[in-house]
Amino acid sequence: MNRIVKFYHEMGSPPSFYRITQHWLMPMLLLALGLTAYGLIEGLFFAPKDYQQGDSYRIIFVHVPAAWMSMFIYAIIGICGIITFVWRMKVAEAVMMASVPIGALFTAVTLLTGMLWGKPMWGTYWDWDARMTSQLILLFLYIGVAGMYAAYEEDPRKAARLAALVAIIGLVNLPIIRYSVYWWTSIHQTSSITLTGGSEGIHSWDMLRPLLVMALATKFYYIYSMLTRAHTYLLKTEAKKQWVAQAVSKKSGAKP
Amino acid sequence: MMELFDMGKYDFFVWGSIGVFVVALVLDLSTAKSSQKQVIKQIKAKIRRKQ
Repeated sequence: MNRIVKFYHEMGSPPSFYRITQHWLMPMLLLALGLTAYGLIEGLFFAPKDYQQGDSYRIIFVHVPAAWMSMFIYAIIGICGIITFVWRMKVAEAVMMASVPIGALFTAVTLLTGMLWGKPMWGTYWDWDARMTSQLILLFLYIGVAGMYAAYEEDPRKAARLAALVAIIGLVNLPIIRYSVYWWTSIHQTSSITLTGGSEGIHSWDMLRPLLVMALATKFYYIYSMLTRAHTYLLKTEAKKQWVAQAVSKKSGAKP
Repeated sequence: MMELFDMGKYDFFVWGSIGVFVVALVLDLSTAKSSQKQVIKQIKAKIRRKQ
């Protein structure tokens, strides 16, 4: 237990966070690339055709993991927002702001791939349906958090606290997205997989396996990209600190 | 070989989606790395000026 508490405290300090997590980058990237290649190859070329949707269902292998990530990352942003707002923890600020562009990108991918799936299945690229509209609102929330930070960038601590406030308020949108297909009449199908109910929509393991692999790949990719961006955030906001000079010199191989 | 890439009448939609996903990840990867390089460059310049 002591080791876990010690690790938690170490991760709260920017120099320790930077030092510990820089060793995670390469394994995370390699896992993400390897699993993405495996998931896409299996999903696109070896998974069986769907009896109703034919080959068009293969969009699921990018659409669903991206949709899960868009919500997962916002939840992380919200939690880090609360930590930032209440305890003013610098590492939480870094993780929060590092996650924003990645989450926005996954949300945009969800919307675009959803449109590309919608056209052949529903006959339209877009409908102001509850699921699609709430997902679009999520994209606006990401833009709002980034915009709020950018507006006060000269004072990063204040900017992070205001961005955290927007992020916390936006958390209310997550259950709306999740349950929109149950609460309102929707052309969007219900969840393919749920944590409590297992696989509701996909019954073939040959279809489910590449989907789960892609879900795992996007998680590893997020950790890689988030850590890279969080490192950049910490280097930038702590530029005057001694540890930054040492870290930068170490990176270039010269003595500080 | 081409049969493998054939998605019936859904070619545009399936390959378009894969393209969107791959382009997004490449874009994210390159912006993350380039902004880090830029910040490191600025910090190095500051250190040099101090010395």
